Amino acid sequence: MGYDGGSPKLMQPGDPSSILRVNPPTIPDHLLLRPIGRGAYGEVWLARNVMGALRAVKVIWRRQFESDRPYDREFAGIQRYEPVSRSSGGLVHVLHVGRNDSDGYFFYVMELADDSSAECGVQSAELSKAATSSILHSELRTPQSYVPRTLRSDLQRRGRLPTAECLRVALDVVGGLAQLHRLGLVHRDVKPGNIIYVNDHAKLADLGLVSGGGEGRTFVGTEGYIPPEGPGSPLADLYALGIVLYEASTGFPPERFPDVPPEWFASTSGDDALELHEVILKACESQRESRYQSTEEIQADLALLQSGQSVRHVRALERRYARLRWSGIVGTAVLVCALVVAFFANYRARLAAESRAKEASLREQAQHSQARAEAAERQERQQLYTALLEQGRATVRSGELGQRVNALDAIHRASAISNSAGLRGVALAALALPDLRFERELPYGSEFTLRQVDPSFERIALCRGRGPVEIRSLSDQRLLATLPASTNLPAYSGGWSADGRFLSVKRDYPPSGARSDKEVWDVRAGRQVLLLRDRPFTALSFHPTLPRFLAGEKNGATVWDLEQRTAVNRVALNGTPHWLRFAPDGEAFAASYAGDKTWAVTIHQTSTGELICSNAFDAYPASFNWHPSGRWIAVTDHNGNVHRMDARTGEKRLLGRHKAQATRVEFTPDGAYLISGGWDRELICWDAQTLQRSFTAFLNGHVGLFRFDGKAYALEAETGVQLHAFERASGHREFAEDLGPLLRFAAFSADSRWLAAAGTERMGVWDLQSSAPGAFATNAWATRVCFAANAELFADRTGGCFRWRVLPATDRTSPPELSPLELAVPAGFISLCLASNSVVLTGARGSAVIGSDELGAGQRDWKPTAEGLNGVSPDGQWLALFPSFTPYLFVHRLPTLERVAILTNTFPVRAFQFSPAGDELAVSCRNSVEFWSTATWQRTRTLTNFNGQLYSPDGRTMWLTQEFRAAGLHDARTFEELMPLPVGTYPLAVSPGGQHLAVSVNLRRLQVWDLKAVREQLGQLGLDWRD
Amino acid sequence: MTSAEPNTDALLPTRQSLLTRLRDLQDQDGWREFFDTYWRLIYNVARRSGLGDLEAQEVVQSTFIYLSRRMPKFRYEPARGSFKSWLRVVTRSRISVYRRTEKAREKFIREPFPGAEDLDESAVEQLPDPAADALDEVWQREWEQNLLDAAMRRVRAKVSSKQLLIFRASAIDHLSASQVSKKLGVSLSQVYLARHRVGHLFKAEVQRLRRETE
Repeated sequence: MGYDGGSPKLMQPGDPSSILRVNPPTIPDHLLLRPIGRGAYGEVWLARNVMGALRAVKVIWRRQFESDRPYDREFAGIQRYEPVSRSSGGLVHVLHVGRNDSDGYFFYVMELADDSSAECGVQSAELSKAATSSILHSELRTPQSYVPRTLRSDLQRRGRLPTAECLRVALDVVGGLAQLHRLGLVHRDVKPGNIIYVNDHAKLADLGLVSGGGEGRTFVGTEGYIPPEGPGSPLADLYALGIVLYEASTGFPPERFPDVPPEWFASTSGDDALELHEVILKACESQRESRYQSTEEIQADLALLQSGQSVRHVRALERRYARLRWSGIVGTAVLVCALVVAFFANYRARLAAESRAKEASLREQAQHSQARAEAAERQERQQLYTALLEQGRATVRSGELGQRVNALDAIHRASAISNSAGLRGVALAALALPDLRFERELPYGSEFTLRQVDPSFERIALCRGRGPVEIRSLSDQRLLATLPASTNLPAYSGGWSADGRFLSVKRDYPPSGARSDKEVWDVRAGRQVLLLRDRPFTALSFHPTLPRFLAGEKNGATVWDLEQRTAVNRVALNGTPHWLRFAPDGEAFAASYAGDKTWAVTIHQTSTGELICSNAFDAYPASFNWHPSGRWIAVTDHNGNVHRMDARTGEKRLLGRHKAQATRVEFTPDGAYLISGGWDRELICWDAQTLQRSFTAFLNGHVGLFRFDGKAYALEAETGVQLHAFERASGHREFAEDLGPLLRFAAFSADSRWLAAAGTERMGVWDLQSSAPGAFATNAWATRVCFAANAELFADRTGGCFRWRVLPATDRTSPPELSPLELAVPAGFISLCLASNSVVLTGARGSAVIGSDELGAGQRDWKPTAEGLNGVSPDGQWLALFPSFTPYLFVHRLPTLERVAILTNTFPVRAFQFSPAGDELAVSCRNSVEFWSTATWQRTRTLTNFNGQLYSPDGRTMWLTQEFRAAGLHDARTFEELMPLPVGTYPLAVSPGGQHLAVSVNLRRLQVWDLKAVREQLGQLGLDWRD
Repeated sequence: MTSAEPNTDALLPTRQSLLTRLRDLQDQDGWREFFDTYWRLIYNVARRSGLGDLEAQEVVQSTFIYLSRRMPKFRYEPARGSFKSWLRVVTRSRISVYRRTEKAREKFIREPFPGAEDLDESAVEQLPDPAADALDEVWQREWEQNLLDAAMRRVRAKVSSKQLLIFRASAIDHLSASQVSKKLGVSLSQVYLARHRVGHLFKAEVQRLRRETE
């Protein structure tokens, strides 16, 4: 029975039977307004809950069944469906299920369909809680006139739907079916009456027939939507959906399939509809082997249509590609045959002339056939490649689960056809994305109240309500140990220590678990080491390295020694903690508790309890977790917010929001990402550096954790514990520190150990051999940076120059040391560059070459040169410099500074660079890069549409840029593009060995790419190029 | 009923043997096939005779219930009349029984009288039906359409949906081959092939159905 039911009767507003005959059942927290649908087993009511929101309530009466069995089967179907329903936007959400055995019914509360009777199509589902008089007026009107909007009612009113609308419905409903099928369920009654609209999105309703696939071979479903082999399978659901789309797009009843409206043939306006009809034809084939075999297959074709591609065309390409490969083989065989004929015909002198003519004709025909086949094959391969490339691009941009995995799959298929720079660019973008890749699901569903995987993902602690805790092997579910219950209370949560030695188990006092007993077990020894009775909430945490345990109590917390089984110290708090977590070094801990009118999250010293910092939250902070660096904690709250709070200052920043209460958060072990979960059953992955959302996933669970190495993620889902591989961006390192906008300058030291970069606010230096933070010089803002051969660091800008010795840090977590060195800044200073053991200064008085031991104050031998930004060739032979806003580049010989050339470029010069071999000088101008020979000082070539370049150390490739937005690696000789960088990525410097590339992203974020690792990844995808 | 396996010919033996199978009420596949083939015919005739949707559904139900009572003793003898004629008679009688039974029930509600609780259907069946002749004409038209529809359903199980669409667009809706080729993205030779193949199958099915039932 659905919303309107099809065969069940839809009750119109004012239907007297709706008032006279039906005795409304009692539904907690809901007022039943009037029935809106009736079927064989019960009815659907329009209801309002205590918050004022309108809902649909379906009531199933026991008395409508002949026996308990079918009644219980209906209830079991709802039990299966309820947790699944909220995991997909294509399924009607079941919000609550209840049962009243004494009065003989069960019920479930669903989201309400849009009102099809509203003239302006206003959705009715969510009315404001704080009702004003005008809203009250519409609330009073709406219940009486309300008619649920289904696809059936739309078709009755409009006849048929435009193709774009059909496509949206298809994608919405297939998404719902995909989720059902993924969880082993089938719907069994897909039809227009069972597709409702909620906030204008199509959703599958009518849950009574949802079953586990393969169970119950009763013949259910609706005539016209059942495939020849019968209902009750995922393929039957897809068949029914095909028939639904047929009705929706043509306006014809199912029995007229596959007829289409004749006007579709008459003009181009029917072309889109015929494209969709291709999908429908395949979905509704009589032979099941010819249909779509999974929701993923049909989704792929629908996605193609949505992206504007032609399904017919792609299918024709694939078929013809297969045929043409065969015909290519045939053509080759014909050619071989022709050659054999020619060989034997040479023996016959009398027929020699005729034979030669024949053989030439055959050969020519065969060659022509083969050439045609090859040309056609090339064309179709290109078109198929384009479709796959677009699919990869669209998937990368989706921001959804599968953004990396599915994109790389499309790219891999495309790479079998063509290996192009464009495809490499999309591959790079996909490789830079994190993603979860499903591996397997363990059969521990929500019937287990405790499901806790250990940090190494080797064991899982399980408990069903009361009773012992079982420790089982994750690989083969073998029972490893049984931990007897210390009380008769149900176990609802737990946690493992970082070394996997200890397990805590929280057993809740009824009704809500605000009080609980805490058991701590030494699992390896198989004994209980601690039992804390009647403790508050879930406030417990294992020390990260020591056998210590922090447990909350009234207005405080106690640290326990788990080996001595004694309390080590107690700290007082301003409230009773709800949640506790040790910092990664154990020296501090975070706590949350109720404040006066808000909630407090506080950071304390572990030894003394001294408050380090705190902040207030308006909504209940459901949980928090520490960044592995100890610098931040991530906090989720019941307003759906995910925050990052500074553990030193307490300052907090909002990352974003879930659609419902946000409840859990976990950082990856390296701190690069965090995953939050909420009661919307949605997981959101956040980039911890940029604080941006990386992707969103509907996986029907909200509690998860990472394996100790960060490569796997375990999610407690409704149907089981899901294990996913966590795939993440590799091949580059992001630096969290902000140097300010316009990050345009960077340099590597000669040994590639150090990286320096400068933005408009400060300069930073990092030791690339550690992950420690950088050292900063706030006076060296907006400077060009370079390292001397002895690793001294120089920085210069007009009016100032600086020099340091860079010293390694004393430990792995501290930044390096910048020790300032003497460098006299002459009056009118403009620029500085390095030449072997010398430094060349340029200023108002010209340029001077100074030995590295003469950089203090002293006499300078100034020679007349232009005033401008300078640079030296790698061989130390030439000095070039250009005044700003002019097209002139002046070249002087070193060390004499004799001027040898003036290079007049087409546009004002922005920058220049000598090639690594010193044979060429590349000059970047406004719209072009001009190349000059250093032997003749003549222009050799000009490259337009680029205005920046950076040579690779071997000189065979170079990075070319367009403004600060588009950049890529090119062949230095042919300028062929080899690998585009993601949009907004600007190359700054290449390490001397060519392995690392420093880039700025959007001229703000600093990253270093491992080019060797990137090429290896591209090679695995079949996308590498020949040097 | 259990769902059937996808073997069209096994589902659809010759009409004679199907009618023989229908003697076994436990032969659910056979009864399912019989119902699927003829319920629309009976429903449409009932509707065209002036009955509403629910009433026509009741006629379909009562017809098949009637058949199920008669079939265990049924012996199909073409010499005595075709299956088509026999089904026509049965359908006609069920429609007229329905009409009269309803009238009697209405009368009963308004004017109850002793003994009227037991409405004897067999007694009602004996009464002549003045609407029979008009119904025969309707029956003939609906029979033809049902036969073509049944033949097309059987053909649909044997060919791809695309071929069927090509056939229907070109042979039945009379669109030109080039138009069909262009709009459906198939070659002209595919259009001709589909027309020939599907047309041949359709014709064979129609002939077969006529042979078995008329």
